[in-house]
Amino acid sequence: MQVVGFSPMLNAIAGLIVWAAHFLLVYGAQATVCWRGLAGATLWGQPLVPAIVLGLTALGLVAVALIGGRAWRRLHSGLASQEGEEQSQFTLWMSLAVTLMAALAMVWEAVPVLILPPCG
Amino acid sequence: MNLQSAMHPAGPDGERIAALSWLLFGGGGAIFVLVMVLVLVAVVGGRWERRLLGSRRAIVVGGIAFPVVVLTALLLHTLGLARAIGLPLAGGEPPLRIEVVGHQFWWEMRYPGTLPDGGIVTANEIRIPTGRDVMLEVTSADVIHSLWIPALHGKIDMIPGLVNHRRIRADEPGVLRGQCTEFCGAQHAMMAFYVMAQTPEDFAAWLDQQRLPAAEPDRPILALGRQVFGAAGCGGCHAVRGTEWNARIGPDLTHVGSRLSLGAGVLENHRGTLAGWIAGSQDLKPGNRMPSFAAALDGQELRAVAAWLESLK
Ligand code: HEC
Ligand SMILES: [Cu+2]
Repeated sequence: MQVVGFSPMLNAIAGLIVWAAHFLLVYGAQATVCWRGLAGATLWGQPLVPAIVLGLTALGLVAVALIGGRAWRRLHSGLASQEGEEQSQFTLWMSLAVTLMAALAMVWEAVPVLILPPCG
Repeated sequence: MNLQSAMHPAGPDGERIAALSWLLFGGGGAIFVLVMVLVLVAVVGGRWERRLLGSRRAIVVGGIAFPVVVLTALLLHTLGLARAIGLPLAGGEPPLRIEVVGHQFWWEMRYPGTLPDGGIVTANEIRIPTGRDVMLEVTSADVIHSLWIPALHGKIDMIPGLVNHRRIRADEPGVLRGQCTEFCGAQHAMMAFYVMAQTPEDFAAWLDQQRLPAAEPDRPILALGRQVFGAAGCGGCHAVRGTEWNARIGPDLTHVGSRLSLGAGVLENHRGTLAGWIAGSQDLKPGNRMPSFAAALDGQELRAVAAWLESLK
């Protein structure tokens, strides 16, 4: 099994990139909806802001699960050590830890829409 | 005393926020002590203790699981509190609406619906009846400001083009102080205001008084003051209801004599400070949007206009 596309370094911080994108989109979407006075609007029968935020969060979680899952499989396939690169072991661990952190951060960011009114 | 202290709350929301502060101080203190004890153990402890502290399990439990659990619990607790702060309190009556507009470097307060054609407008003080929900609807006329009455509520940003809401409520009559808490320019630090919580009867009486147009001058010096006000061009920036002046660049002065302070909390309010402000507003609050009139008015004119403004109770 060969990792394609990502360099190891990019792979290691991919979780952070997903988190940053999630943060930006959630922030921007909430601000735009409230600025446009659409606090009461709905999307497929759901209130707009929670629907967008929870949808983006689900997407983000899927993304970090894919990234983290791949790192996990590589770590346990023994491939990394076969290649004899300690670097690679390290970046795989880093990738895994970072995706877990990103997942937690995205969940924390999404919780408020379940509890607070969307536009203050 | 304690006019402006989040640790001395004066209403139900302030109390909730103060309780959260104490939880944070207590919890943060306890965790700090715990960590210091562990540091001590790591330094002076025996081999067994030190091995335990350095174990993978200790790191996973103490360094990852513990913070995640504590921070998650705190997040949920805080969000629940934020929700409670937004909900209407029992009491039946619909909240009293007050619009607050931030200006560099003063506050405009409007009470919509208190006059047949709109509402009264005052500046740099919020009067509220005790025991009733008050909905502040805040925005800004220029840059971003932030409104904070520490004894009553958390900060609320005032953003141009956007109206933010904050419910407040005071339990007891008394005077509190608020402050701009978003840097907004040279005189940001001198952008304060007073909050006067009054019994519903006193509040109603104050409102009735504010509904009246400005009092007509009943003495020659007051009549001269009114004349000076027009001649000096003050009416180009200020409104005085019941006169020909209705500009909105500066504070509404219809009842300026009844206010607790001048210049957004900079000076006490009486004839002397009024004259001082008019003559030297740029010395008292450099960079504010009102020119000094020391050179434009002679002593007699200055005394007269200050006396007239003082008479506008
Ligand atoms: C260019 C516009 C302008 C002109 C002209 C002007 N003012 Fe002002 N005035 C302001 C502004 C703006 C403030 C608020 C300043 C602040 O606190 O930052 C103010 C504040 C005041 C205050 C304090 C009000 C309060 O509630 O704190 C008084 C009193 C006052 N002006 C009287 C006068 C008089 C009298 C004149 C004429 C001699 C005058 N002003 C001319 C803009 C103006
Ligand atoms: Cu300000």
